[in-house]
Amino acid sequence: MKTKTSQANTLPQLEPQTRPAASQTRRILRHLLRKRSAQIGGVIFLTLIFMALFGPLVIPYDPFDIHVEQRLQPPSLQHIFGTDEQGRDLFSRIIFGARYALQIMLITTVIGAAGGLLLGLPSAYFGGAADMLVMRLMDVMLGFPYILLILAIVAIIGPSLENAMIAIGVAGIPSFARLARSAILVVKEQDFVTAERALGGGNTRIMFRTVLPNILSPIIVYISLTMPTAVLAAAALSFVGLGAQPPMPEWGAMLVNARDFMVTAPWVVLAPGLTIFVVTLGINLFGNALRDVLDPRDTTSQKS
Amino acid sequence: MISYILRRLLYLLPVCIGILLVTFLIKAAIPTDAVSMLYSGQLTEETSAEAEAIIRAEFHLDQPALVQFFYYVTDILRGDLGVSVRTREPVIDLIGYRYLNTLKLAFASLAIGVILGVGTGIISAYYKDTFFDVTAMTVSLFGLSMPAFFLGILLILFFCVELRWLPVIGDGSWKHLLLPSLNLGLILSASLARITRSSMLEVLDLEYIRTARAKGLNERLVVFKHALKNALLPVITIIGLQIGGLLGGAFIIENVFAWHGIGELAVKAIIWRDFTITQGIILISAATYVLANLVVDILYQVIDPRVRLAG
Amino acid sequence: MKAYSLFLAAILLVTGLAACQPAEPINLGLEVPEGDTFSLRIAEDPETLDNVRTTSGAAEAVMALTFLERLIYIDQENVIHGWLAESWAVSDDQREVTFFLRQGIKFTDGNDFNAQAVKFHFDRILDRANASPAKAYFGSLQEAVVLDDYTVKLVFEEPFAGLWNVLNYAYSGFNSPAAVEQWGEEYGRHPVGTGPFMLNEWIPGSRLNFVRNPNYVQVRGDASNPGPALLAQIVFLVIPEDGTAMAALQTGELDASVLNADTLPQVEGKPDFNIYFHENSTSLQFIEFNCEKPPFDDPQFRTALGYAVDRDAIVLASRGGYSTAIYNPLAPGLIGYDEAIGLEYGTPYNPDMARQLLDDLGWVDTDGDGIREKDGEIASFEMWSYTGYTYVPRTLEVIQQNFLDVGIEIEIKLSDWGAFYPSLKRDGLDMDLMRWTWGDMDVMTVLFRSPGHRGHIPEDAELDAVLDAIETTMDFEQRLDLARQAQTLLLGRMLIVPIQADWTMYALSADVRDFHTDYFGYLIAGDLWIEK
Repeated sequence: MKTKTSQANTLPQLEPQTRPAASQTRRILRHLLRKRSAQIGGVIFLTLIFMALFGPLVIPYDPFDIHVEQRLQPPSLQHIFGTDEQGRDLFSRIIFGARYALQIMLITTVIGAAGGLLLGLPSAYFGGAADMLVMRLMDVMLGFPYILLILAIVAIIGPSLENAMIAIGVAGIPSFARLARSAILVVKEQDFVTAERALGGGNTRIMFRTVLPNILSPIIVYISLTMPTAVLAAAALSFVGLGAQPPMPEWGAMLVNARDFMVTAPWVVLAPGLTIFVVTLGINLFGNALRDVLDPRDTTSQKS
Repeated sequence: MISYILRRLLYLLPVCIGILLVTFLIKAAIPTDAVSMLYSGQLTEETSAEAEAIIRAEFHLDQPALVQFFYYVTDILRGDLGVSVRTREPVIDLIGYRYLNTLKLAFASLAIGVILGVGTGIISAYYKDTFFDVTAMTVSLFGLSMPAFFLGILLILFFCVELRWLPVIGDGSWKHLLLPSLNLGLILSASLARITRSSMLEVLDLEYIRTARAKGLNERLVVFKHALKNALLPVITIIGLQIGGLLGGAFIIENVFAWHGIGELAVKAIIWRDFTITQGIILISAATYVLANLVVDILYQVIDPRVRLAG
Repeated sequence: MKAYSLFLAAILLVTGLAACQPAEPINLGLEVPEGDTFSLRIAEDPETLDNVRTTSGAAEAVMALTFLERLIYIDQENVIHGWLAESWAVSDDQREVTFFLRQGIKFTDGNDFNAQAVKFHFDRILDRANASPAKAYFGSLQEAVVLDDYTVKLVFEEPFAGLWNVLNYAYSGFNSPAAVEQWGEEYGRHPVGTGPFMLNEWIPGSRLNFVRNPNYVQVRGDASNPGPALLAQIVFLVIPEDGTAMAALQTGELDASVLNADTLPQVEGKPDFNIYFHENSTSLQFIEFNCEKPPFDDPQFRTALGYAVDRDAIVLASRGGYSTAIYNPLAPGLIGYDEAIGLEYGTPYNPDMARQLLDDLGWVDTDGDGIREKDGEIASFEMWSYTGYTYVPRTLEVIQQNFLDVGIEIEIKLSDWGAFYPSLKRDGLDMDLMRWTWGDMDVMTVLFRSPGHRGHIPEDAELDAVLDAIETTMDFEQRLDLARQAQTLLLGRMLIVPIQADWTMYALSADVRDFHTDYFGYLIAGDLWIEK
């Protein structure tokens, strides 16, 4: 449905990697760490990972402990983010919730990227009828509004955080498939691929050993851009009550369920709202830096 | 050109069939249906069972799946979206005005998003690494990271309650339209600005632009006529993709601003299990999306005749 | 660049054409009288205003206070009065109820309200072709018989005591037969009744405008204004979000709005606003069980859970204090509710008592993990409920903590109503948190007469007999006595754990006067006025 040029243009451009992978990685890292946005984004992302792994060890209160008599207390020394409508410590809940945010981002991305690659890779590599079929299927999926598709899937398999993640992941497959496909279409005509094919390399081997590594950079960049959307999509699901199950302190659910306190107890809304905001911002910053580094053409133009 | 459009239309056929099939499957896969929901929790089981049977027959739910699919497809081919299971009003009546509302909102947001986003992107690329560029790109990151309704509540509190410039609710006048489209437009402009900027930078770096500049052509003419034309290609693709999200995907914004579009109805219909409404909305938004992307592809052809159909 | 604009215009045009025929705003062209306009928020647009075709809350909220009037009404003191009926008589076999109608009442299209109009309405409900969702509410109603122009008889197969409740809802209001016949399928958008307001304009999804019925005569004794409404217009605005409604109240675009407990504190104590509570709630939130499945088949186990629930904490945590903690298995606003029974047989918060009962049953924490076990089974269960309302998860979170306090672990499971409700019966879930709104004590029969609405209540001759009698006993005093017996028996078996009864809360602009509701929480719209 899309044209070759249109796809190639929307996506980060790529150059086949010819140098050994290890030094390549090191070069990229060096470039990356020099960028301010990568530094900020990296720190935010590392903090998120730290919170997800060690959060329960450092939180001051039990994030599930209800003290109704202390409900809706503004931020204070005792409760730095204040308390929610059940009198639970918001700071502890936010930290504890980091694991869910991380889970959502990772699992949806893995489903989306793996599904997209498994469909896009052979489809683009072999072309022909299979390609046609897969791409039409992706067009069908893209035809549904993203969030309605997620809603419909959750309505079928039942609401829970796990199912929400599956639905968000599945809804992300078509974009990944398209992205992978357009990248592969460029790569597969490159000399080193045709050379390997001429040498009699097996299709599967060429696909996964030669083509795949060469299209990784646009995929990685795209992942960094879609990860935050998954958290926002989970929040949208909570808006209709099909997101995380109580008492799970998932940020999106916390934000959505507290939205009517915006005026009377703004901290209940701001705590998850700003957290989502900062984390999303961090990953976006990191993703942009990554894009600049991985995308040589863009990098040169940025340097000039 | 004509043959291109025709071939392009031909490609739509399998997509349309696929969309029909998927909407039908969604209905079949959802464990409870609208009819049993309509009568769930009613007082006398016998009377509600009787009414249930009548409605089931009316919607051919007592038939095998294949027959149901046949009825479904033939109805749609006749342009009949059926009647709502819940209220038994024609789906077209229920969707029609809401669809217009959604289109209004989508186009207004698109206009705001494109003007703001593309404009910012061009200026940012032109004045690369200046204060404007850095600020604009940082602000656009904020736009990408903001939960939509969070911005919505802030907009209402500021423009309606604090400043009293705009009404909170309305019946579709431009004053009512302004805030929700601003909300969606701002979010949209964030991604458009970034794409426009990087695409512009890429193009400005290309050989023929350099040549044009070297030839001493007017700098503005180079940027706005030659470079922009090419830089807009990816931007148009993204716009085409975004239309999908604006159609039916904006239910939170529609809820917050009491803007009665199809997204809001779609969510209710999914929860009511009202499959005729759900199917109708998905069909109509998918059709619009497909149409919009058709236009995008034709636009491509117009801008850059080298583009060839692939896949 | 011309090409771009051309194609953009093409997108606009093509998609615009594809938009089919949008529903035209309905404008009935009535004369708009001079006077004040009152705007009231509704959360959902009614799907139709034909009361035979819908029983939804969204339609009810509009129809009940504007154009539809019923045979009887119940006032705030729970007393039944005649409305369009002056009086009524029950036959000796209790299967027939004869209504003597008030004379001189006219539909707003000029036709007389009479026995034919009453019969016409019930005929439509009974007509299979209409598949009316209202039909199920009328028990074994067989037919309506016209005795003379102003006398009409409802004939039932079985005595139907729930009639006095059912007759109050909007689906028991009367439409002009001439208008129904004139508009046919379209009647739902051109309704004509006898009430104080007439539909004038309807922008679907957005607003409904009603104008004053200039010839209206109010006969209800609980209304203060006997003549046509004091307001010129009443406008219903569709606003799904409470936060948005609140903003519209602040800007003066709304005069009144139902608000949830999260938003209401914004107007508390503000001079520009008043708050109106309808505390006489006909809703009850409760925990129910699969009473056929161990350990929930044991009344003592259920009683232990009842003692574990801290209702006062729930009231605060889930409703911000705007609800009533309940110990009876019946909503407090209902005729037949007897608080004394709840105080005597109910289970007030007493975790020690809960622990004691559980110990006695052999549920003991042997491995020290805080969760009790019995015969190798761990006291860990699922509690189900439905999504879409913030008070549900909040209530469940407190219950979860309360139960954990006494050594019982629950996992909260929410799904949307369409998946949740059928699965209660189908899958026999352990426990669920339910909320039911109904205006009559026969709600106990509907829900708890074996096998119960969710299908897992074992037969119980003593209780079933009382619950059956509630359905068929027409005598008012006898029925009150049955209600007391049923409440006592239900608490003795602890078939459900009552939690709370929520209030309906309105925020009003301070200049709104004479805003008051009846037994069902219906606003008496003809009395409203706005002080300048």
